[in-house]
Amino acid sequence: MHWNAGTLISLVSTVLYGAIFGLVAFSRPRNQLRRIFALYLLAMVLWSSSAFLTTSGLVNVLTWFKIMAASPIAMMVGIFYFVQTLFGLRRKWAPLTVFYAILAVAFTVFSDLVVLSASLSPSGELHYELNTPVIVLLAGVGYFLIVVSLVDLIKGLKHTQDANHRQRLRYLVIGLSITIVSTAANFTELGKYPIDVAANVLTAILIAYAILRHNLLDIKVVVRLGILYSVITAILGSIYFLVISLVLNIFNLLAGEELLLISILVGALSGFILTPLRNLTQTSVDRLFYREKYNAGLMLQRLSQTTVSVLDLDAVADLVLSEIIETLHINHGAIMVKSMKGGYFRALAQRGETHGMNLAFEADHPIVRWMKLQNRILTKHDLSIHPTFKALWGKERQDLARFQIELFIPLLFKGDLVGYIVLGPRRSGQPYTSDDLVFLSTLSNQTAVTVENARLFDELEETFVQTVSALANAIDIRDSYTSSHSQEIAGWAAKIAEKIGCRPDQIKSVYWGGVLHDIGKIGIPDEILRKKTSLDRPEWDIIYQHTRRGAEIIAPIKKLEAVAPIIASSHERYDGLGYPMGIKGEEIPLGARIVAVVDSFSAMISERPYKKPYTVNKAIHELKRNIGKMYDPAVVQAFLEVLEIDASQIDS
Amino acid sequence: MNNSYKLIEEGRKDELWKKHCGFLGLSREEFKEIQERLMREQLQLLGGSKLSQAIWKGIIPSSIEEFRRITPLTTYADYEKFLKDKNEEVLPVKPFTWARTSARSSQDPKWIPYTQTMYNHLSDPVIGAMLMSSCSEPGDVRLERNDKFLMATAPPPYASGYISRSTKDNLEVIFLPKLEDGEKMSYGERVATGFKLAMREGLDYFMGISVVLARMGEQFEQQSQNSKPSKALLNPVVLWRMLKALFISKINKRGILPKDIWHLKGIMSGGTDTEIYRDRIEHYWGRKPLEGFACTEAGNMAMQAWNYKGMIFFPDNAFLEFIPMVEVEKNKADPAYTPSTVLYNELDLGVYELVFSSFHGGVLMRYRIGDLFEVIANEDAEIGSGLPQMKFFSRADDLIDIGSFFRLTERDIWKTIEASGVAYVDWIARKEIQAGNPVLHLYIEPKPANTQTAEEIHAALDRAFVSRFADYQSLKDMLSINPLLVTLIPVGSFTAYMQAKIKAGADLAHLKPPHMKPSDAVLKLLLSADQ
Repeated sequence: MHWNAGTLISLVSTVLYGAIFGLVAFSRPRNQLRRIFALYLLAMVLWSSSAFLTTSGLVNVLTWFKIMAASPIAMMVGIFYFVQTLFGLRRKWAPLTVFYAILAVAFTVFSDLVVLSASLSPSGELHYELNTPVIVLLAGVGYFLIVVSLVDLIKGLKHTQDANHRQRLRYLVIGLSITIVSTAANFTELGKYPIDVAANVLTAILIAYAILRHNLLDIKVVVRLGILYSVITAILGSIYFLVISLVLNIFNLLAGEELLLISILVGALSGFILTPLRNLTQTSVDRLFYREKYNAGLMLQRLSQTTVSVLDLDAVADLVLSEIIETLHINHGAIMVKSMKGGYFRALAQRGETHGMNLAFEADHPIVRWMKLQNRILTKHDLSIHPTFKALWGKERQDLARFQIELFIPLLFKGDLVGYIVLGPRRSGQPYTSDDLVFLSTLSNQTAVTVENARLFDELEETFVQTVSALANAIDIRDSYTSSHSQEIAGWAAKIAEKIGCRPDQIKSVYWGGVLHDIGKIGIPDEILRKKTSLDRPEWDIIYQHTRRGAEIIAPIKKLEAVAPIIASSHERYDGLGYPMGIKGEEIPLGARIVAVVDSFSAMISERPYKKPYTVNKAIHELKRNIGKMYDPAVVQAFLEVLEIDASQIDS
Repeated sequence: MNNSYKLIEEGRKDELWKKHCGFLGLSREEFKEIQERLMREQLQLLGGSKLSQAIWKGIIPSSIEEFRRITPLTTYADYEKFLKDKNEEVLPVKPFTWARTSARSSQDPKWIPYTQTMYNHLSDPVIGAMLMSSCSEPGDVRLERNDKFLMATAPPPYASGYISRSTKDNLEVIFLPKLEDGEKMSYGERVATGFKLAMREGLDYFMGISVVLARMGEQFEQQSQNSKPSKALLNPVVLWRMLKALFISKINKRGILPKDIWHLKGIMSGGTDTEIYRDRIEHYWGRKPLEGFACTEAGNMAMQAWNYKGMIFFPDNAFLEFIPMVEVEKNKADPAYTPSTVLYNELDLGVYELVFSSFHGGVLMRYRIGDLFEVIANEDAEIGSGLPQMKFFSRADDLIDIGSFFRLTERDIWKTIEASGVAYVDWIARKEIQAGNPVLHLYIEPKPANTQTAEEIHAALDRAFVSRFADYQSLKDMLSINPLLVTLIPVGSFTAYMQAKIKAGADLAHLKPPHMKPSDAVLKLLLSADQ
């Protein structure tokens, strides 16, 4: 028997294909696709085993060489039929390929017109002679079939939207490409090397991986991590044994102290070299078979660090959504959160093209109920599959399709659905992978806690805001001359802020500044607040304190933290002659400058015990007169635009 | 929306199963929620359409309870003036197409508008039936791309034609013959062409009336002994198929049966005869037919599961209500009486008349289709279903009530004839008064080879009735009468009747006389047809 690289590779290939063939042939149920794939694998077993037998010299070389030459033809037809069946293609000429296969294989094996001679030299080198025109003719047809199959596979790969199916097809495409390239080597000088069989080993590994990792052919094989590690350890143990045996052979040591010494030395050296190799292999196994956990861990680490300290619900939602959208390159998405009363869900953050998107479901909506019950990501495919969603309305289905909704990610906290994340397609158009889903699922668990905390905090703050608003209303009512005054001021102030170009959060703060600017008056006694005659100095001192008091009242409410400075400075003047701090110009917060203008305007056009109301024209005239003294010119100008009044006419 | 062929292509068989058969696992409460939600959508769609306003008389119900309270039980007569001329302006949603029922010569057909959503829904139950009919356990999906499918049903504008088209849109199967070709053929031609093609291409699924398969099986059994080689055997695939079949039949020491030629994955059928022919079909074709219930007005409504027991209704096809039999009888006695209804989730063992309201923009509201169903079990643990298991009981008008003693359905009589061992071609049954007593009058055409005399056939049938119905014996004992009258009709009468009907241009569904309560005119034609 001859042993060389070719023999070893062929043996390995035979074992691999034999194992995969066994896996496919004996898995249930046996459908047409599996049967055809089993035939392809059988051809590969025959190819590899005949290559092994031919080069080993154990059998009649010419006969087995002929079988080796015929096997690729069977393999090519097998793969062609497999792809045809996989995609349900029905080429009219397809049945002819069976006749081709039968004739070509029989012609190759039973005649001497294809393989002219084949023999092994005493040193084990394979010598053969082929009838080139005939072999080109026979192999040409096979090549045509396999190229057609490759094209079909690539088309299918592009077409499918299912991530798992893509993976399966991808490995088949790679495997087939390797086969095409490697068998082409047989027509070159490289033909004397077992490149094709070596490539077959690679293809076998790819197919095995596709079966184990991606359920190719719907074959579900659960491979435990422990078994994979055991295999690695066994291989490394064998290497260790071979190294020691080799060293012992080299040094020709059979017994004695030297044997022990050399064994310890070689063992120690092997340990040093092999341990990093084992670690590296185990990491590779982790990445190959458990990649999702590996990647998700890294990505979540970043998010957990950033969200843990944020308690503002809007900020949390914004942060999480931005991270998801950017990390996974998603076109658009939204985070919905349960409303305070719990009857429906409202949008908290939206990113991308979400114009007109309304996914604020009620609490008893089938999608909401499903997420609460299943606690797993709902894909758009689930919507057409799970019987619960038979309850969806036609219009709802249309909307989901129009907004291209791909995923609903539940945010569950202690069994309660506190919110959900809605995601559109990826910018690349590629479907979400199982890794993405695992990542998003892990993220949702973490986000749910943060969102719920923020939501509870938000609810608490909301209660505060409502209480404070109620107080503001109470003050309005108490100060009968300024009844409804705060709401009116808030409305104008928000419009000015918008006109000036403030951000939405700033506009919101200015609005609340308007509502609550007089909240500090709660500490002013009625006799001062409702006094019908002029105030004396001590009374004015009490009045002057109300801005500071107002700021102090709302300071503990985090949600309104940007409002406190507005209230505190709402009676400052642009020229620095205001109170309580006497700051001027840009030192005064913009919100306070806005509130100052609208508060004055409101006071001017209102009746007071000590004055009649100004006409609007007169009030505006007064505002303009005090530009740069009491009021910010830009704010006054914006206010006039809000009131849609032509300032020049007032002047005239 | 996932087309089912995509799920098959991508190996997502679990999802395919869940999509089409997952409803079996719904609880009664979940079923009700789906029904109510879709009904709320339907109320919105119906809105203020002229048709709904004509029924509701100006009121728009705001809840399902109100809908059930204010909407009268309807029949086609309530819609006829709007639908017979296909007036689309009165409809709540513009129809995608119009389907028609088969009509007896004296009547106009019923025209039913199908919206796009209704049309799209037609295929879901068919695919479900294909999965159920070919599996041996839940999730065992044998449906594959390019499976060969012979649908021996009527073409558009009959509902079955649209069901075929919708199935083609949603599934990659090969219709034998091609759907577009088959629609141009007569029924017989299409079935014959289908089986001819099946010799070459193979056959995986059959859908149609059971009698076709039963008759074919019988013909095989009779002819395979003395059949001669045909030209078709020149085709190597056909030759191989026949050689295999011959080999199997020789091993089993019998003639060739269809199951030796084709290995059918599933058979789907509907109608009373499915149960009658079930065992015979299994004998000839190797598989039992899976029974379903469909109608033009609502498409596919219910089907059996893989254990071939009770049928289960689909939750998203129509809003289901049922009139208990007691109420049906009260209403029969007093047509002015409005019978009460129960919902699907409220059903218990017993017989009920089906009432349904269309979903997806359809037009029918609390529609009495005239079919009775029997709840045979409240659940079926074998298939993991907590939903009522039902069986088609009878057409409401077809029940034969003999002296208020016992009630016979078409199936009861048919099964009794089968049990009697009488070799027959076909039969009809009427309730008649003979000498002041009510009797069941059976008109039977014996098979040409049947040598039994009229007395022998009567005796055999009488014995079968006695053994199957205790009330039949009681009637005999108490009234001292024999409530069974048998008349043998000449051989060839049914064939001649059919030919006369074909000549008169009758619809496919009315080529045969009805089994139950045929009119005097029908009886007269049948008895005189062979002349």
